[in-house]
Amino acid sequence: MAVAISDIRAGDRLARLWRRSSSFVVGSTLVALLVLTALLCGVVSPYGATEVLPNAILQPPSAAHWFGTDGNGMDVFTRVLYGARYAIAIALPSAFVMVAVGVPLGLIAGYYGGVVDEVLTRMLDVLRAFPSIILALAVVSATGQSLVNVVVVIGLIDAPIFARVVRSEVISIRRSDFVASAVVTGNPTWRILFVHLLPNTIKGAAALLPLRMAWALRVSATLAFVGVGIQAPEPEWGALIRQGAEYIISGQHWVAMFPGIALVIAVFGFNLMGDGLQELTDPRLDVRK
Amino acid sequence: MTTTAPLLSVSDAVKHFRGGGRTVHALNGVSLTIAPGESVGLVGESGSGKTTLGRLILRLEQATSGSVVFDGHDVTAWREGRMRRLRPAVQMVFQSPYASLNPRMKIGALIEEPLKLHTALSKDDRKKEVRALARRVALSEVLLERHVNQASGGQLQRASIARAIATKPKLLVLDEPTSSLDLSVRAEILSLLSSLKAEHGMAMLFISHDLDTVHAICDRVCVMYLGRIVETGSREAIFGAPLHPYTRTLLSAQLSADPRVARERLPILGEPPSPVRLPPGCGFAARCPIAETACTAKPIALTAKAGGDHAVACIRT
Amino acid sequence: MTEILRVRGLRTHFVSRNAVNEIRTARALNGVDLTLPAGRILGIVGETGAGKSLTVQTILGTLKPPAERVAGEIELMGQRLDTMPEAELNRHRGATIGLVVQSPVTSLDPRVRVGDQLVRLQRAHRDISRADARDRAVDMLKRVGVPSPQDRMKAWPHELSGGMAQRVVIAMALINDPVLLIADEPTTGLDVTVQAQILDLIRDLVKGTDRGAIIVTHDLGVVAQYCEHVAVMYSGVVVEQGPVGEVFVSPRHPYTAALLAAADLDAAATGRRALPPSTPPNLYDLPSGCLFAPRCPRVQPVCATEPPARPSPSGAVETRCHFA
Repeated sequence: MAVAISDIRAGDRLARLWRRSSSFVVGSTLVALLVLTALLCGVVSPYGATEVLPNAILQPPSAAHWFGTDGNGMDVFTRVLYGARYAIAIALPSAFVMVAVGVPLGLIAGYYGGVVDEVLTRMLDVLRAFPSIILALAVVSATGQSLVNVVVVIGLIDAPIFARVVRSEVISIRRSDFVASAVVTGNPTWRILFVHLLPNTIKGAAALLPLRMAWALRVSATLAFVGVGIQAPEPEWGALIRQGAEYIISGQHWVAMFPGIALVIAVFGFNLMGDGLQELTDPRLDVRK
Repeated sequence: MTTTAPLLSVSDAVKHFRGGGRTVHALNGVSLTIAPGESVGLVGESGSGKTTLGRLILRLEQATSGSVVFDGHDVTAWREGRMRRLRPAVQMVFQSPYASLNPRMKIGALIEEPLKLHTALSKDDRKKEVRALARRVALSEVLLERHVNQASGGQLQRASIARAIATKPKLLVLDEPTSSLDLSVRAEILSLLSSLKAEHGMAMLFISHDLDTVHAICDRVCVMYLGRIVETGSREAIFGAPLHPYTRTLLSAQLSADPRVARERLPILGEPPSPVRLPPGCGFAARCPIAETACTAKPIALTAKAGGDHAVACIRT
Repeated sequence: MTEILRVRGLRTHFVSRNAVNEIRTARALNGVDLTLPAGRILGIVGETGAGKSLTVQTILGTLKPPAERVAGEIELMGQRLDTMPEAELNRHRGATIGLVVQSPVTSLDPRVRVGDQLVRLQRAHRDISRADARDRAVDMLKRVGVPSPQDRMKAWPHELSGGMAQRVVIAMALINDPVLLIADEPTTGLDVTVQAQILDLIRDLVKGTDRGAIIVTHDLGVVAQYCEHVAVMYSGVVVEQGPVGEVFVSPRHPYTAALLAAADLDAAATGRRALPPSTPPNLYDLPSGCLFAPRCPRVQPVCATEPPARPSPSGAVETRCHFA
């Protein structure tokens, strides 16, 4: 037989996943595309990321330059592709920071309750009271416009959301018998938190990740656009849009438009994936036909 | 008269839960001793405080007043850090195995955990010990690789027992371990517990509302009502010659599977009590068929009747 | 003596699709027969997975997909329920048939006061004024032993204790004068002393009347002390049925014998094994012969190939066994 049984199963699994959450499938595909672009841009792009081409300033889209060229003579298509690397370089590490900081705080606040919980929650509330973009702006301009700073700031600002989600899940199960059993067996507290509680309270946080990554992209682009984040000649999409903004009025819309579309697609992909993940992890009526 | 020191000694334990503007008086002065190797049944209905007492003994709760002495150590006020060292010696089996086993861990890992935490055995030795424990509780080794949602209630309860006896505890507290199980499985688990008791010399505190189960496996019985012990004695004394009106009512409400046995039912008035509004005198007075005014005046102490260790908290018997 | 309920050959299957999209059928009920005479209480007893609650749902016609009844006749006072259109069947539920389930939480609407629920239930099934319905509701609450019934009419369901809520549920089941009362694990989870009161109540409401009651339970004691008849279920089949005094004292089917032996906990604690280790039967892949054969101590070659087709009566007791 030409088709293996495992192929049939894979196809079937995809069909079932589609029925359960088409958002997830579409979103993950877009995100996968983004990752692929980030990985292969060096191979696929026709020019260098910051390669200045002679006599090619502000060229409209053509066969040689699919997305045209910008005011410095660099190929927009290439720079948009390389921008994917920045997108991933921001989305993934900041997600890591959010989780690495937020989840343990949520576990501790939820498990201990009492004073510890009060103090932590108040601190997190204070942080949330600030409009996050303003806060990001302020901190990045104060500490310097590097990729690392942007990632860390975004990660820290969003950590409270993860802490909150994990905390409420911990609170709902901390009085349950299996935690009591873990205590009676003699587990030290760190094991109760990380071996017993964490795997059972991570679902909400996991479903939240793609959405927060979308947010990270938007904030980073905003910071760059405003002039505070990553700046030209680095091919970050926000920076590219900032570069291209001045040419829109004079009619060379392509310089800003293509990076803008790329950003929208990436954010949309993460959002869709996040929505889909929430659909999938919600307890649902099993009415499968 | 025995002279060995008791393994567990609870004195005048009081536990009040405060919250939401009201106080739940779960335990109101409970004293209990368990000798090494003895199996004691703790019987009561909802609101009796039996589960709270079990949790207090395991220091999952802190007593509001009174003392808990285990194996010579006064653990009443011990913090969890200190208590952890004693944990191998006192273990618990919970009522619902589905709720008391981490759903994300394999069953084998759950049984291995106490060994990992408290022994210096190598990984291979631990695995061997886990298999031996599984055999001892008649748990098929295939199940060691499975997760909680892939096993039946009876199998999970066996796993819970294996996990609890892994460190060879001196005292095993069981909170309604068979209530959620089918009849045939219940019989198997009781048979297992019975043989473990004989083999390990382990003391047991068996908390249950089912008198038939308690009769099958316990040497001594304590009957609780509204946070107090109302009667305590040997199994023969409690089942053969119950003194307290509540004990007698409880026994009479047991339904025998033999249709020819028709126990005369003692009337019971009203509803089970709420531990929020504690009556001043005997907790059972409001529903007792033989209560009189003196019963509601002040709490009745547990006094021993002729016959040594049969004690009852009632002034009408 | 009139027969309130007569069920013959009930079969219910669960049809679903597995990972490779094949149709899989779980045969949950495999030919259930039941008889309930008037003025009597029938106990349906069995372990988890025997199909007790499913039998009740099939009789009431409340099965939801993927469960469906594939065969069987259900007669209530001579009327066929299995061929009845849904609208007519709906009129029976709540009126001619009263249902009490294990958890009062599912029967009582938490947003509606107790009295209003009793009134609504009456007006849904008959032409009666609100005032009359209220009076009848108070009467019924009194009958089921709810103290201060007038006051309780205004109570919210969450204000009731477990035992009180169950009494209210029984009142709701009886308010329209049903001819059949079905109680599915009515006392599981209630205190022992409350259990006795509730069961006494059910017995009083049935004895000496034209009604009949079915109590579904896993507790042999409940059946032994409150039911005149018993049907023992295993794997979707009634393996033995008859007067309790006979079935529980001289069981004919090996499963009934094993179940009764397991109820003797004192013997269990001394190590006598009642049954080989229990593995729940795989409903997708049931053996072709007698369903109990894999665990039966008296199994013979014929048991694996041929199911005991018709219940073999001996006196008042029917047994599904080749060797009863």
